[in-house]
Amino acid sequence: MANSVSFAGNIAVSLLDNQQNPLANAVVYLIPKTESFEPVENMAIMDQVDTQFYPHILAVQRNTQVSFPNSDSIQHHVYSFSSAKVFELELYKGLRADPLLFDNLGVVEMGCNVHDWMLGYIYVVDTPYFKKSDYAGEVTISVPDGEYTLKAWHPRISDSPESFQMMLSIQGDTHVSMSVPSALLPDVNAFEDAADEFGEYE
Amino acid sequence: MSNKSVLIKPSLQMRMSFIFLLLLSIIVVVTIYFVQQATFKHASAQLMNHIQTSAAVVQDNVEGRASALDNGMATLAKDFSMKQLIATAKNDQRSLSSAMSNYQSRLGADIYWVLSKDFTPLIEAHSPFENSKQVVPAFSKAALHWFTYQGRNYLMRSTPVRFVETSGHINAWVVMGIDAKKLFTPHLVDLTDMQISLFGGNASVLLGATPEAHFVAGQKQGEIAKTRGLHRLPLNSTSIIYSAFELGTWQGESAFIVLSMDEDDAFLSNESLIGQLIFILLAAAALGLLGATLLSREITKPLKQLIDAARRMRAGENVDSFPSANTREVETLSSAFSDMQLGIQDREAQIHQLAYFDELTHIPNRIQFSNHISDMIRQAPECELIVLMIDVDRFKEINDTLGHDLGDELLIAIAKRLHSHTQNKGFCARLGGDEYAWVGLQEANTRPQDVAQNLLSVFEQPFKIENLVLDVDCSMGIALYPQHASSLQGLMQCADIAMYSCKDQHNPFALYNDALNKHSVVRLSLMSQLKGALGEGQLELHYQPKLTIASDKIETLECLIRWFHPEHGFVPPDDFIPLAEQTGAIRHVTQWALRTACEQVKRWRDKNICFSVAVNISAIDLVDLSLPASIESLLNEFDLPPSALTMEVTESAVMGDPENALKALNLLRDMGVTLSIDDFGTGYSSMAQLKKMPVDELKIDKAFVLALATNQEDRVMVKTLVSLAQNLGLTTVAEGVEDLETLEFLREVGCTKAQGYYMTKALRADELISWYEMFTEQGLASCSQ
Repeated sequence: MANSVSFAGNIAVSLLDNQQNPLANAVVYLIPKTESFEPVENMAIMDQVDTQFYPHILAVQRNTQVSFPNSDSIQHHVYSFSSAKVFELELYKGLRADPLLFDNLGVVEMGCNVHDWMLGYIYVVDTPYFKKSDYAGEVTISVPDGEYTLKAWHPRISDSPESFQMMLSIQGDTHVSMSVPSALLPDVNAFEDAADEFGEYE
Repeated sequence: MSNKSVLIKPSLQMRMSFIFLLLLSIIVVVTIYFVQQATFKHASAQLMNHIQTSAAVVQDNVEGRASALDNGMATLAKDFSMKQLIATAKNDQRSLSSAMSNYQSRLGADIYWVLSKDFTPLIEAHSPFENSKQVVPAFSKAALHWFTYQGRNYLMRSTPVRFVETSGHINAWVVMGIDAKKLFTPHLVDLTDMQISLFGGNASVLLGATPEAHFVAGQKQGEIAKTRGLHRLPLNSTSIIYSAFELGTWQGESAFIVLSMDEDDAFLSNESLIGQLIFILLAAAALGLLGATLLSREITKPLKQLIDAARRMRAGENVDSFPSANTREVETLSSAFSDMQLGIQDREAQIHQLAYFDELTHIPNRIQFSNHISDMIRQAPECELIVLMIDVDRFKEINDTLGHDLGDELLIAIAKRLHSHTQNKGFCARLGGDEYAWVGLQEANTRPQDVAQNLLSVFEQPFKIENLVLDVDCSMGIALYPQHASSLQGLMQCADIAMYSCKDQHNPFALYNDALNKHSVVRLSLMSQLKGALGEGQLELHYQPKLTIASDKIETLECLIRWFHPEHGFVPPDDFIPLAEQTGAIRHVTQWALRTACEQVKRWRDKNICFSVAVNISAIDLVDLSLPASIESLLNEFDLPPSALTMEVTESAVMGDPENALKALNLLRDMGVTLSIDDFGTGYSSMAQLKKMPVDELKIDKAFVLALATNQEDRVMVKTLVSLAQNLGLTTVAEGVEDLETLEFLREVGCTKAQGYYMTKALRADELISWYEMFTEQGLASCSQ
């Protein structure tokens, strides 16, 4: 299948919670059934702005280098004890910290030891086809035709991505809706309401 | 009887004291009850407040510890190095363990766990929790949690660990516990002044307790009430007051702290108050009782004195003073006693007067006279006394003639003279009726006769009674002590005998001598022998014929009684008939005479000699109403007609009890028995009386007949009597006809029958028949022989 002619198509996904409300800012990703990927040398940035991680949720393909600049004029002490990536960037300012390689799949939950309220996620997926949903829960991803598994992740989704996924055979433009089976976790930090989240929207 | 009941009944004093005591007791008990109630309520409310406050203190204390632990644990959970250690626990358990130990000692916890987010212990040495999914998150809640682990009990707290604080995901749990024992410290006891025990599992498990807690494991856990409010439970010989409050949970159920204290301590102030009150009330009761005793003693003291006075009065003492009392009632009673004593004394005086003084004459009576002599003899047995017994002669006649009122005045006048005469010498009394007596000491140179003579002077002057002048004579019997008799009875008897003897002798006085007494004894013994004599046939009936003058025939006889005594020989009827009448023995004599006469008449009639026999009957027989019936039965027994019997009755016999006598006479008359009046002309019977009497015959007393031949006056009298009898339709019988002249005179005046020695004296039955045969042959000629 690797040499077969691929037609690109757009798949539009409407992501809904179990209340049929749009679920924004969720990582939606498609894992092709057969395709395997070369390791990529991508770069991503997880900035810290106004003592917040920016973006709040960062989706990256495996083996992506993520740099942690510090836009604040104060020091941060970013760390993660998540199994996907344990790291600690002790008190630093600006670009003093070297980029980190995220080579394990899964969620990396980050905090700042200096600022307890700071919370950020890096979600490492094993596919180039991923995108975060907009505030209307919509996401459009261009993919070659083929067989895919559609998954979604958000810190408020209690179900694991494996427990609600969709097998798709994509031929051209497709539109699917996917609902989260269980209720969302409570929105304790109101990060979703942060206005700047939409600024990232592309 | 009365004494017994007096002993049994409580005294007034006792009763008053008792009532006082009872009232006081009631007041005391009621007061104590209400005060106890009020103070108990108050004390209970206070105690409840205290316990509630204590419970709040305990709760606050425990919650404070829990909160401190929470704070410490929160710090721990946020500590980056701890997070790091937890995150790397799988590789480095020892570091985590040692860091946790550091925190443990810092926070004063006794036990800790670090659990992963799926509640498995991160330090392998720790055993896993049961139910950790439910239990551990619960430990992080504000409520208090008690937890038993390896036999020890802990106040548990937990806190979730988030590697990133604001993360929605919990990465681990830190659990810490404080040993419950440490929570209930002596300090807490000092703060609350109570002992505290903590129970879980419906009081089945003791979770913790102060060192000296009342409720520890095994101590009546099942009986503990798990509610607020005061509860009492006896425990180890003391009583415990306690209250239970919820404090957290243990194994999903409520746990309780039980706050307890000794009841003695709980109500100490209350009890000391009650104690003081009881003391005050008891003191009041004692004072009240004392007051009651004094008061009742005040009241009963005069009563006791009155009782004493009454006893003395009963014993005959004169009580001079009665207790003056302090109350009106007792005063009244006292004066009533005084009045009663006066009344009793008055009545005693009256009774004494009645008993010892003669009612009519007011001089001493027989009883006092007897007592006086007895006293004299008793006081001086060697004294010599002279006793005079005085009887007024013919007083009955005076009384009958002048009437009782004048008779009484005479008796009073005699008494006065006697009394004034003997005022300074001797002692005089009225013995009864017309009898008086005097007693005095014998004097050396005075003869008893002189004393009597001296006393006779009382009667020398005539008595003037209502313009009548009465000459009164008297008979005196003299007896001497100790010469004649040594006893009162003896003296009185001797004086009596002497007095009667002088009546016979017509002397004004007589000194007693033994001869007089002997006669008297014979007479008395005769009487005792009379009844026996009747049975033994010592008595006989003799018959004296009555001549029917008109026909010169003998048709009727008078039977006369004759007593031939084996020792004394012939005893004349005058000696024993009056005595028999006095003693009542006359009845037997009459019965005997009637029966003997009837037998004789029957015997004669069997020989065709038809005599009618006259029997004398006495006053006593006449009044005894059984006489007619017994006569009738005799007539029937001997088959005799009533005409065969004639009853001779003296005038005086009828006059004694005219009513009953007339009744008996009428009965006899109705039976057909002939009735005759004996000794007519000697009594006091009036013509009117004679008219009423149902008699057939008058017997003219021989006093009028004996000298009829020569005495002109007697002739007139007899002629008049016969004429009177004829006019009244009565036959006449003249007694004592001793010569033919007399008989001829009687025939001349028309007298019906003649009886006397001229015909014959009374003869025995057989002699009479001989005489009768001769008379029948020779007629009156035989009499003149």
